Amino acid sequence: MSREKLRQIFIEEANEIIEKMDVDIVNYEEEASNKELLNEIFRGVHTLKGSANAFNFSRLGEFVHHFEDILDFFRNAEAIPNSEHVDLFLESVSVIKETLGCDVEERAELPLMYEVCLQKIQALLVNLKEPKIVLESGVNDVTLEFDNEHFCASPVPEESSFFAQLHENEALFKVVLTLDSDIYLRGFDHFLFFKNLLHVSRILASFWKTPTFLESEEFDVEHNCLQNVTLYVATTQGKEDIEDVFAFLEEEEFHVEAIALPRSDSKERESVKVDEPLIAESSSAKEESKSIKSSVVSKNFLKIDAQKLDELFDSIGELVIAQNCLGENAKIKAVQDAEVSKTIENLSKITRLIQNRVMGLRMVPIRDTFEKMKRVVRDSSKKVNKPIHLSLEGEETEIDKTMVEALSDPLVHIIRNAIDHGIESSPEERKKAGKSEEGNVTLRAYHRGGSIIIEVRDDGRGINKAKVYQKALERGIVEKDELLSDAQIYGLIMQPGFSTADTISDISGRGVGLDVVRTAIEGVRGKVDISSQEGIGTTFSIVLPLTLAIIDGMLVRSNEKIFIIPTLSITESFRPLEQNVHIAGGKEEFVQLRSELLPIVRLSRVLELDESSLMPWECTLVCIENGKGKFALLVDELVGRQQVVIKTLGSFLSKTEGVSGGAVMGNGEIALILNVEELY
Amino acid sequence: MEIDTRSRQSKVASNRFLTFYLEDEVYGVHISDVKEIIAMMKTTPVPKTPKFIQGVMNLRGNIIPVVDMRLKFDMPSIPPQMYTAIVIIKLDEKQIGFIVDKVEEVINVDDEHLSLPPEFGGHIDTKFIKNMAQYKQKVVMILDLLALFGDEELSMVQNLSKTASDKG
Repeated sequence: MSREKLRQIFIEEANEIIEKMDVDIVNYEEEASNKELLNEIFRGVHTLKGSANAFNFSRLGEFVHHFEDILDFFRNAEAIPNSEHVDLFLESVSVIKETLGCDVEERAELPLMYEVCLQKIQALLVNLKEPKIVLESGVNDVTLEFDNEHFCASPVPEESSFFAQLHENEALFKVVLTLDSDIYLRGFDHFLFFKNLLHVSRILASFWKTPTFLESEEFDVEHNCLQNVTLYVATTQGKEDIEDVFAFLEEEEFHVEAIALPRSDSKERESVKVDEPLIAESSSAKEESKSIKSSVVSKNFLKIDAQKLDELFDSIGELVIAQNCLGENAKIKAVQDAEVSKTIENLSKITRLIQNRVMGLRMVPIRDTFEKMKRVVRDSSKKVNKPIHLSLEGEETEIDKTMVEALSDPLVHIIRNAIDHGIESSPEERKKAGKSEEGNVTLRAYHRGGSIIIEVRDDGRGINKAKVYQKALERGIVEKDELLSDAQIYGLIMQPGFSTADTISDISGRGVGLDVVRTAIEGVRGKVDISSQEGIGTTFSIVLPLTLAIIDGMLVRSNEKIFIIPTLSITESFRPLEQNVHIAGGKEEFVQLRSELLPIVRLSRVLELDESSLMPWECTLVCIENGKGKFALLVDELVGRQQVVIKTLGSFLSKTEGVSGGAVMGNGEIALILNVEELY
Repeated sequence: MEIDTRSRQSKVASNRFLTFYLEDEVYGVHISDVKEIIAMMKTTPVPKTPKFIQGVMNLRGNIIPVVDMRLKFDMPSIPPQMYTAIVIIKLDEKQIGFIVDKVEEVINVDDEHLSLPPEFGGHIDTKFIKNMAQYKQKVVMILDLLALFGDEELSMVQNLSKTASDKG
C-alpha cells in the first residue's frame, strides 16, 4: 500500500475519531462517573497521537500530546472534570479538527485558537497537579534506582524480604515488564508506567535486567534495550487496578502476580504464595471486564467504497427490471405451466429480497447524527444562556447514508433556531408560563408510510402568527389581503430574507437560516413542515424519502404517456364535479375543493404536449403542494402507485424544466418523473 | 454488436472510423468514441427539448438521450426502417445515442487521404465536420463529436429549450 493511501486512511480515521470524541465528551459530561467513557476518549486521543506523529503531522501530534496528558490526569485522578474543563476539552477537539485540516493541506499557519488552547491546557495541568510532591518524589525514587548497583543485573532477593515493608491492608504484587524493543515508538516508556503505578501503589523495589549494553555508536535511542524489569509493589487495590496501568500493552509484555495477600492484623505473615480465592476473584474480575469490553466493541464492520455500493445498486436495479420484463412477457404469460410460473414467482421473490438487502447496506441508524447534535445544543445553550434539556427518540431509525450528510446542517440550523427563538429568553419567563425552568428540545425520528420523519420539537413560545404575517408584509414576501392557511404562515419563516428576531444574534437570526434548511431538505427530495401552538411549542418535521435512489411514485397518464409524480408531494386526487370548476377570463381554470379555490394546471399544457380538449370534470385532478403553494394538476387518469428507481436523464437533459429524472418501468420503457416545483 | 473501446490516444494514429449513412451521404465517427451499436429501440420523448432530441431510452438500466441525426442535420425525419440503428458513443463519460439510417463498415484511412473540411457544402454545418476522408472513390465526412455533443453545444440546447418554454 502506498504511503499516500495510508495517509488517506489516517485522515479518514482521524476525522472519525475526532467526531466520536466530540460526542463522547458531551456524553461524558452527563455521566462524569463513567470512567470507561473517559478511557474511550483517551484511547481515541492516544491513537490519534500515534498516527499523527507517524505521518509527520507534528503540530497535531504536539497538541494532541498535551491534550492526552490532561485526559490522562482525569483518568487516574479522583477529580471529575467540571463544566469549565469540559469546555476546554471541546475547545481542544475543535482545535484538533482545525489543526488536522491545516496539517493535511500543509498550510503554514495554525488555527487561531491553537496557542491559546495549548496554553490553557498547560495552565490547567499545572493547576491540577498541585499534589505534585507525591509524584516527584516517586519519580525521584525511581531515578535513584537507576544509578549504581541496581542498574546492572542485580540478583532478585527473596520475595519474603518485602513482607516487612507492607503496611496494613496492603498486598504485595510482582510485576514483570518485558517491553518490546519498539515500545518508544508506540508512545510509552518505562517511566510512564512507573509514574502511573505510583497512582495505584507504592513501588518497593525494581530490578532491571539489561543485556550487555551496546556500544554507543550502535546504540539506538528509539530502541528499548531493557529486556526485563521486575518490580515489587505494595497496594491496597486489586490486581486488576495494577493491570489497568498496562492496559495499552500487549498481553505478553507484562505480567502481574500476587505474592502476598493484605495483612489483616499484626499476625506474622505466612509466606503463602498465592491464595486460591484471590486467583478466582481476580480472574472472574478479568472475565467481567472482558465482557464489558466486548459489549463496547460491538459489531464487526467492513468499510466499502460508496461508489461500489452504488454500482451494485445499479446492477440490482437492472436485475429488477429484467425480471419484470420476464414476468410481463406475453408469451411467457401464455405458457400454462405450473413449473414456469412457479419459477418466475420464485425469481421475483429473490430479486426483491436482494434489492431490499442491498438497499439496507446503505442504511445507517440516525443515532450518530443525533448524538452530534448534543454538542450543538450544549454550545447554543451556553451562548444564549438558556438551560436546555435535549431528549432523543428513535435513534435506531435507519436512514440512507447519503442523506445523513445532507441532514446534518439543516438539523443544526433548526435546533439553533429552536433554542435561540423558540425557547423563552429566561427561566423566569418559563416559570411564569408554568413550565420547567429548563427548556426542552426533543429530536425524534420515525417511519411513516414510505417516509422517514425527523422532528425537532421545543416547548417554547410557539410561533406568533400575527407577528410573522406582519413581518412578511413588511418584507414584501406576502401581498396585503392575501389569505394564508396556518401552515402557509409558518412556511413564511422559511422564505429567504425572513427573520423575526428583534436583535441579530450570533447563533441564528440573520434570516439566512431557515430558507437554507428548506433548500437543503428539498435537495434530497424531502420537505419541511412546521406546526406550532402559541405558548406551548413548535415542531419542525423533516419528511424524507426512505432512500435517495427510490421514491414512491404515483403513475399518471397524460396524452397517452406515463408520468410519475412523487407521492410525497401529493395531498389527494379527485375527479371534480362540473359545478365546482370555474373558468376565469376564458382560459384560467380553477376548482373549488372544500373551502379552497385551487388553480388547475394542465400537465399537457405545461409540458407542451398536444393539448387535449377534455374538460376538467372528465379528467382527474391531482392536488399537489410545493414550495409556492397548492395547485391541482390535470391528468387524464391515475394509473397506479409504484416504487421506482430514480435515474438522472444525464447531463444532456438534466436541466429540462418540469422533469427531475426518469425511471425504467416494468416493460423496459422509461417514464419521466415530474419535478413538482417547476410545474407551477 | 459491441465494439472494444480502447483508450483514445492509442487509436489516434490508426485512423479507424465507423461509417454510416444518412440519406445518401456517408459519415464517419472515430471508432474509439463508439461504445456499441444497437437496433432501433423505443424511446420516451422528453418535453420541452429541441426537436432533434428523439427522447431517452433504457440501455440495460441506464437512461441515455437519443438524438435523431437526420433532424440534427436538417434532413426530413423518416420512420424507422429495416437498417435503422442507434450508435452509442461515449463522450467525456457521458453516453449519447444517435439514430442513423444504416451502419456501413469500419474503415482504415491513411493520413494523406484525410483533408480539412470545405468552407461550405453538403447538408450540414461545417463546424460539425472534423475531416473529409477519401475512401474507395467515396467521400466520408468525419464528424466532430465534441462539436456535436460537447458542453458548448449542450448549453445551447438548454438555452434553446429555455427560450422555447419562456415563449410558452
